[in-house]
Amino acid sequence: MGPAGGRQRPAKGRRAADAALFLLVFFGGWQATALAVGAGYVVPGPLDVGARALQLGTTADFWRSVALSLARIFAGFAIGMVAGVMLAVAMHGAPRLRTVLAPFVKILRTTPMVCFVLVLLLWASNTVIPTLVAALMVLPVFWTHAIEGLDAASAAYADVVRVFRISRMKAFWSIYLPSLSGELAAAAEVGMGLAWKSGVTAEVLALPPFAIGTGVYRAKLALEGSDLFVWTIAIVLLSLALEAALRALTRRWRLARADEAAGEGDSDEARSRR
Amino acid sequence: MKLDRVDKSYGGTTVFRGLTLEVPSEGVTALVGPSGCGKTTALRLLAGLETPDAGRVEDVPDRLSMVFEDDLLLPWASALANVELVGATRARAASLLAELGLAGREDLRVASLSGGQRRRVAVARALAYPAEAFLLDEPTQRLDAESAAAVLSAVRSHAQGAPVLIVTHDPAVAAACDCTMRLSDADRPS
Repeated sequence: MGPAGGRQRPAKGRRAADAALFLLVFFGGWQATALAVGAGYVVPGPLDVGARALQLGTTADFWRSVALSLARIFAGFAIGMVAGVMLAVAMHGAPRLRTVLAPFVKILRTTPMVCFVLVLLLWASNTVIPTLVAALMVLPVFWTHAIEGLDAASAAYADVVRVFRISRMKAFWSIYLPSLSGELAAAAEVGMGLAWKSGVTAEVLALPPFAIGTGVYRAKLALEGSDLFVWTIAIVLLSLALEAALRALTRRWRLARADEAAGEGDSDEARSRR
Repeated sequence: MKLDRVDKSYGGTTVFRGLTLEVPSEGVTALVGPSGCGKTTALRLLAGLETPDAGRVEDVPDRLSMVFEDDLLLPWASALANVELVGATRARAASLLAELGLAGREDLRVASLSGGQRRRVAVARALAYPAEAFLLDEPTQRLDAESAAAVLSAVRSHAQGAPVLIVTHDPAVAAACDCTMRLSDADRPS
C-alpha cells in the first residue's frame, strides 16, 4: 500500500512540538504536585531529583548496581529463553511429554512472581534470586511462542517433509527452527520487559548487594524521596534502552516475517515493479 | 500408478466416488478437468498424502517427487537452499535453476521472488529429487508461455523415463503432454 493508503507519520516539526508539550505537561505537573504536597521526602521536585541524579551518577556504586542488575536480569532472560525453547522443542517431538509437562508450564505462567521470590528466599542466595525469577517469568513466554511456531511450521511443511523424506533432524534445523524467528522476536520483546520488571522487583524483595532494587528499597526505608525517584527514572530509562536495543537486534527477523506475509499476497506485477 | 474404484470425501462433501485412474508407466501425462473435480485430491492420494475412504491406491513407486498446489517453499531461504533441501548438490541445484530461467537469482530469498519465479523454484526442487515418479500440480501456474515451455522441457529431460503426471488447466500444456486423462464432474456425484 502506498503512502496515501497507510498511516502517515506526522511532520518532524509537529513531532517536536508534541514532544515539547509532553515535557511541559510532565515536568509542570510534577513540579506543581511537589509544591502542593510540600514534603520533599514524599514528592521531590524535578530540580531536586535532577541534582540528586547528578550526585548519584558520579558514584561508582550507582553504576556498579546498574551493571550487576543488568547482568543478573540478562542471565535470567537468557536462561528462560534457552529453557523455554528447548522445552518446546522436546515437547513438540514427544506428545506424551507435552501432555505431562504442559500443566507445569501453565502453572509457571499463572503463579504471581512474588510467590516465587518468597519461596526462593528460603532456598537460594539473594544474589541469584533475581536471575531465577526473571528466568521463571521468561520461560513460559518463550515456550508458548516456540511451541505455537513449531506446531504451525510442522503443519505447513508436513507434506514437504513426507514426500521428500526429509529427516527429523534436517527438518528441525532447516525448516522448523528458521520458521520460528518471527515468534522468537515477539517472545523476546515481551520477555525482556517481563524479565526487567520481575528482576528489579525480586531485587527489592531479596536485597542483593549492589542492585537497582536494593537502591530502591534503601531509598524508601530512609525516606529519601529524591533517591527513590532517581532509581525509578534509571529503571524506566534502562527499560526503554533495552527495548530499543532488542528491537534493533530482532529487526531482521521481524522484517523477514513481514516480507513473507507480503510475499504470499503479492502479484507478479507488483513484485516486478519493486 | 493406479487409483482403483476410490471414494474420497471431506466432511460431508464427496470429491469423487468409484474413481478409477491409471497413469501410464512412462511419458508425461496430463490430468485435466474442471475446477473442483478432484484433480489435486487424486494427486495427493497417489502421493500417499491422503487416504481413500474406499478403494485402493496401487503400484505407487517408493520414491515420489511432487510440485504441490501451493509452492510450500521456505520463504526465508534462498532459491538454491530450497532446492538443496531435498538432497541436491549445490551445482545440480544451480544448474536446474538456470535451466528454468533463474540464473543469477539463486541466492535471492524466495520471499523476494515473484509468484512465477517461486513456481519455477518449486519445479526445480521437485526435479532435483531422485524420484521414480513425478506428480506435478499446476507446475506452469503463473508462468508465461515461454517459461511454461522451459518447465515442460526440463521435466522431460530430468524425469528420465519415469512417469510424470501433470495437473493442468492450460490446454497448451495438456497438448504438449504425451497423453491426456480427463477427470469430469461425472466422477463427482452431487
